[in-house]
Amino acid sequence: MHAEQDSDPSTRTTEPSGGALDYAGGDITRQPRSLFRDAVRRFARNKLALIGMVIVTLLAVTAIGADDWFIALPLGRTPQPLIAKTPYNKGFYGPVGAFPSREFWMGTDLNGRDLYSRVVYGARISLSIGLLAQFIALAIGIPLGGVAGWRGGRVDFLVMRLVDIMSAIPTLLFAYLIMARLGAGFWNVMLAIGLTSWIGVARLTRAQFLSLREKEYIEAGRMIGAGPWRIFRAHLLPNALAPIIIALTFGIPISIFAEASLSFLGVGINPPMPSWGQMLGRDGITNMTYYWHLALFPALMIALTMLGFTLMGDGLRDALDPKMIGEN
Amino acid sequence: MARYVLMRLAGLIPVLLILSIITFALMHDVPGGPWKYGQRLFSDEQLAALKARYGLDKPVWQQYLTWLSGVVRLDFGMSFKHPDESVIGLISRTWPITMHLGLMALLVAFTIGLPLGIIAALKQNSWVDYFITFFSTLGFVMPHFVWGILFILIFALALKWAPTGGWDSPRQWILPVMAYALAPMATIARYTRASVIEAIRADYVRTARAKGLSERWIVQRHVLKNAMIPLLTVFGPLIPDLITGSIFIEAIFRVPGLGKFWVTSTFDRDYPMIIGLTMLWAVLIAVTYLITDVLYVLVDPRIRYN
Repeated sequence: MHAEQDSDPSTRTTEPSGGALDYAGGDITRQPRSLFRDAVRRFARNKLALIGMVIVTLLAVTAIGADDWFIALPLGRTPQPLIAKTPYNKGFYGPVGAFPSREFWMGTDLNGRDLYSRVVYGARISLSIGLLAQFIALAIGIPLGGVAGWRGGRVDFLVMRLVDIMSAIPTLLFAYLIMARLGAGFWNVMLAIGLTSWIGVARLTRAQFLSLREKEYIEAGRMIGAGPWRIFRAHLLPNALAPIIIALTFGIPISIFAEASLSFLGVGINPPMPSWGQMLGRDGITNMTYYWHLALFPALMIALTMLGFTLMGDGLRDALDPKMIGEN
Repeated sequence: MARYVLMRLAGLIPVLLILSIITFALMHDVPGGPWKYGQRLFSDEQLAALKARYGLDKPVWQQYLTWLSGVVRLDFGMSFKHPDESVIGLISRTWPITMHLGLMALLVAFTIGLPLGIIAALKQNSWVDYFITFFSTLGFVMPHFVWGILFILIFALALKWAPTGGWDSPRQWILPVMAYALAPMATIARYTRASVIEAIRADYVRTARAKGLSERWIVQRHVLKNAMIPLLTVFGPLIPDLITGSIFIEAIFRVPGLGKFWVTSTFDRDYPMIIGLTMLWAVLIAVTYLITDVLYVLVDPRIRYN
């Protein structure tokens, strides 16, 4: 443990000084390492980041394997619970509001449904909304920010005014308004969150492209006659990718939090489909003085998910760009 | 500088105009109406009379122009849900409570978060650092409604140290302020740590060390001062967020503030309130960013705006 701690800062302090030290140390024969290999090495050395990745992987396995829906549905079979014990919308017709026991690991809810099963299905809902909402945000933010930063001029002005307007919007009020317009439901929550969270991505991409387009290798590319599309694909996008990946990793827990908030307020996921936020807001908070398990387990799951993604995001940020502090 | 500030404020007007048009169109597009889901059910004639009284029978663009001409005279209309109060009156009655809560949370967040971040950075990779990083990550990732629920379970119900809610005596302030302060405190600690670490590695710090300055002097004069500049952009946006309140904290701790209206105004289809709040938020955000940018110039003489 101690040896690990001591080796950590020493390598870190030599890294920023770069080439000069390499010569001084006589380390010339070292094989050249790619940026990606370097990043993987740094990530693997970061214990907190690995913990984050383990949490996220476990959650992803839980989400995918909640039932055998993915396998059963194309084959025309009825999906059976795999990791969950019962389908999420089926009651046990047994104990109602039972406390955690060996049979019901997290107790049962006030409809007699197994809480553990619902928490497991909640992982699928949370993770897919977090991921899909971020993809919407990327799909809007990257083209807009990229065009603004690359083109500049009038396009940049227009896009930035749009970003100004969007960032002056009170997010929760607007997401709630969109949900009231579209109606509660899985796809609508995803859309509402995606539509309110692309501004950061657009800003980031624009800033990246602005600084990148002044770089010498872009100039050189243009000099040898590369078209704008080739420069965009071969030079701009790969170089802007690291900050965007980091933004994505931090964006996912924010989307998950947003889904939990909307469902908590009753406009997110419609019952009987389970969502951690909805479980907290509907039964959890009103009955927490007696049926404490109804509030505790969904709350813990939200916290654990956010923790996993945040730790992983921190690690990725340090690994991909040790100098960057980051915006998020 | 005065010219720059004036230009920025003038640039706010088109933003507000477009934002108000978007909000107006969207909120009138939401199905249902202000008197549809109330406790009292109205007859068709009564509904028609109510709509005529508030001008809801006219086309939306006409309603918008009526609203706009009111705004010019600083009249944001009457709330539908609280018919005896104007939007301005309702906000000025409830906002001070929310602001009180938010400012106390902000104070707590800064007085604890800043030192934690600095200590963690100066003792980087020691167990103190790991401890602080772990807890600030925890504060960062737990939604504040989860903290609120946990605090009530532990401190109010189990230990009985503080009341479960209300807003009449200072004893009732403790739990909501703590629950509300944790997330910004964690944010402040995290960013302060990163920024101080960045400053420690800077060339001028190496120069200062080479000159043989004392560690205390280096930290106070070179590290902290320079580390605080990038932090302005992180801390600025925390403020409007905190002083406009949270429906979760206010609902959980029964605080009679502004926070709930961010959600209930839409729920009640209280159109004047929805658009009034949107405008309030937009102006707050714009002013915060403007102040942040001005402070930036004052703190860092290298930055210039033209």
